[in-house]
Order: sequence, then C-alpha cells, then structure tokens
Amino acid sequence: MKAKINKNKINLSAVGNKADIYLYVDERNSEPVKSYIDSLQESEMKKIIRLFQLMLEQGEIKNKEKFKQLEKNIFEFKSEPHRVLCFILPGFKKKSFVLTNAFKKEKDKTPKTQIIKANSIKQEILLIN
Amino acid sequence: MKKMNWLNEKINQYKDDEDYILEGLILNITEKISRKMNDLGWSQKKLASEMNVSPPFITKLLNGSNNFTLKTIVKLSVVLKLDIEYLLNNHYVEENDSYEFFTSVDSQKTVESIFDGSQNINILENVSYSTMNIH
Repeated sequence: MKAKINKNKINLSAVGNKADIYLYVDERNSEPVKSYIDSLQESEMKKIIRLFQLMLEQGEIKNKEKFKQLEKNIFEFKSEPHRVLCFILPGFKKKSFVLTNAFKKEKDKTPKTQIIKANSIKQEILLIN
Repeated sequence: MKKMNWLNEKINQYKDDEDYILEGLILNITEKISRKMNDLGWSQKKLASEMNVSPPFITKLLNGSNNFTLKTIVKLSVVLKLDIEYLLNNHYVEENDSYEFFTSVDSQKTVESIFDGSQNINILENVSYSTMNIH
C-alpha cells in the first residue's frame, strides 16, 4: 500500500539536523497545534518548544516520560501538563513528524478521542491508494 | 530575507533564555538516564529500588517536575555507572557517546560527603551556565 501525501494539508515548521517538524493545516487554513502552543503561558511554551528542539536534533527521544508511541505511527510529545500528538510521514529520507492535535492532560491515560482525531488527520494527509 | 518557519523562529527566539537553557539541560540528563536504563533493561521501578527512592520520584525526575539536586546526580551516577561530567555536560546525546565511570571509590565518597544530608544544593540552577560554556 502506497501513500500519497496531501501537501496542502501540511506546513513545514522546523528543519533540524536529524528530523523535520510539520504542522497540520485544517480546512480554515489555520494550524491548530501552533494556535494551541501560542496560547500557552510562556513558561510552558518554552518547555514544549525545547522538547521539539531535542527531537529535531536527535531524531528520537528515549525518555518515555517525554515522548511515547501510542499506536502504530501515532506518537505523543509530553510536556506537563500538555500533550501533542503526531505521526511520521512515510517515504521521507529524514524523519518527518506532522503535529496533528494538542490538548491539556486531564487523566493519566491519553483520551481515545484525541487518538481518533490524530488518526483521522493522518488519513486526511496520507491519501492511501 | 526569507521568513523563518514558525518553530525554528521560536527556537531562535529562546536560545539564550535562562529557563530554556535549563529545560534543555534537564532534557539532556533525562535522555542519558533513559538511554542507560534501556541498555541495562531497567524499569523505572528497578532504578527507584537501586537508588532507594520511590517510583513516583523517578517519574517526576524523568518528566522534569522535580529538579535535580547534587545528591540525586551522585546517586544516579553511582547506580547507573555514569560519569558525573557526562551527565551534566550539555551535549546532545549521540549513539556513539563514550563515557567512563569514575573508578575511585574515595572520590565518590568525597563528593557524597560534601553534599550529603541537608545540603540539597539545587545544582541545575547553579551550573547551567558554566556547563553551557565548557564547549
């Protein structure tokens, strides 16, 4: 199964040595994860940005308290108390993450609704032939 | 001049910010701990037991809610056999990072006795700049 990428739905947000990070662009042409992060208190924003920088520079994060696989090709950045879900674009030489949705953690477990949302955005971007 | 991408711009904006540097140092330390735990096949529970602390303490260390004291750094270096300098240097973790455990038991004891007990010096707030300037 080969996936075609809907490039109108993603926007390159950061280029790193080991990984790149894209943002999902919704039907109103806005980037929900960017809006979410921009709305945070500056102290929380710095922490989450620094976590993204680590991924850009390493291409992986070993600490499961900071980055965790939730499902096949759905991952979670964890920066207390916030969560950012993402997936990896297939077929890219450099690891390329797409940030799909972000939310404030309320329970220990990631809500199923947020995982479903991430999956549905992934399907919107990856057009399976 | 070409407009920078949003996230790259944010990273550039904060690169000299004290809180941002501190967060980076914490993330680098937790990465080194996690890498070593993976190598040893240790769970957080096992690390907690080796360090004689509670598992929630380890979770808080790894998720960055607890700041590292010198005592904790020394404990981590002893149980995980990681050099203190390696844990604290603000380098990004690479697969081929090499490190050696300090072999002198006396030097460990000296470090532990200096910072033992109530002297819970908040190491990260005191050394982040000096470690940053090493390289």
